[in-house]
Amino acid sequence: MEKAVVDAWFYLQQQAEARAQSNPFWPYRHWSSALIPGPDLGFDYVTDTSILLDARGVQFFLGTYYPKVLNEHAATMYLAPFADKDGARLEGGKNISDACARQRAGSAVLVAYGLRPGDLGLHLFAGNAPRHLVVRQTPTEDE
Amino acid sequence: MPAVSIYRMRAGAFEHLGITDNGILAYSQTCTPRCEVLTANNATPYVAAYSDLRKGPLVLEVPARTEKSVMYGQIVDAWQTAIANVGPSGADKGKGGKYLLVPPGYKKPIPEGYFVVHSPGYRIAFAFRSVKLAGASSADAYNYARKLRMYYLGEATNPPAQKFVDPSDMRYPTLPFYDARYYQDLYDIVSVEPVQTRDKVMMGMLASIGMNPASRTRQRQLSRRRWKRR
Repeated sequence: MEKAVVDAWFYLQQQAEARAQSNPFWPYRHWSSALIPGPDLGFDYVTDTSILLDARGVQFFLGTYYPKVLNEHAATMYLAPFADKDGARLEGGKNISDACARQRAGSAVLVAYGLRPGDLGLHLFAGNAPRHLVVRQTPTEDE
Repeated sequence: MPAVSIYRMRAGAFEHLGITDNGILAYSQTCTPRCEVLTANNATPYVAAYSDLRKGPLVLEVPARTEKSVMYGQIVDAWQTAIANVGPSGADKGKGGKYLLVPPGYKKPIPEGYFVVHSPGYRIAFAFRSVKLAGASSADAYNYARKLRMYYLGEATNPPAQKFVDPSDMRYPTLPFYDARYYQDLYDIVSVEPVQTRDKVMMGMLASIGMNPASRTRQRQLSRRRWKRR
């Protein structure tokens, strides 16, 4: 049973990375929104026909306290880097300082370390960056 | 996953920060790495609390928005489903007021004058952000947060003194355990909370490892006894 929990952690971590990679916030960059709601823009992931177990698991693996509905005018957004500039998974104590350095001043605020150094896939969260400010700084490929 | 995560936040607060049900954590400072919370930000000081509706309906008094501060956030049930927004996007629309959180199966009359929220589960939790408006200081936001009150409806005529803890300098571990303790936390949840239809398959799987949720009849008996004792 102890192994099952560890397996579950790795499964969720892998699902979280896959979700981020398929939902990049900008082209050419390895950042993704940490809040990806269900089809009804809520966070219970229960539809007319199914319960989206993996989507729910990943969302609550990454964070807590989601709003009833997340619409496009939401006051808060969270951006999380999911890989370094070369697309390598972020690992505490290895390439994490590189990701920090790439954080452009004023675009967002680095706010919390989600996991202990040494854990795989350490997530840095950026909070409270108004979307219009972020979008105005959309990077280009040659930047 | 959502249930175990919010349960660990509750248990972490009770084990490390010295509060119990209805005590309020009000941060005077923004989060530091001592605040081991998933997706916490370091821009707004947090306010959080936990309660257990097995002891009856809960009153939550939210202060009206002032020129310096506004509070917003979510109240969630044991499955971390948002059951109420509070603040400008909530029923009080930023004007403040009294929320009444009603436990599942509660049959007694509900008094007037409350924003009534029917909770599908017993253990509830909230996290609000006390937002500084233009020209306000962190102290303003903190003092504003300290206007919150929570107590059981049975205590409404003479509410107890509100307990606040400022955990700014304290370590607050909340991350779920990914080892055998995960199962204990899971059991502590399913042995208390009503089973929803959507979760019956999962409860069947838990039964295969000896973890049986309390039946609805048993929960009703327990709740009735608690209400009688009050």
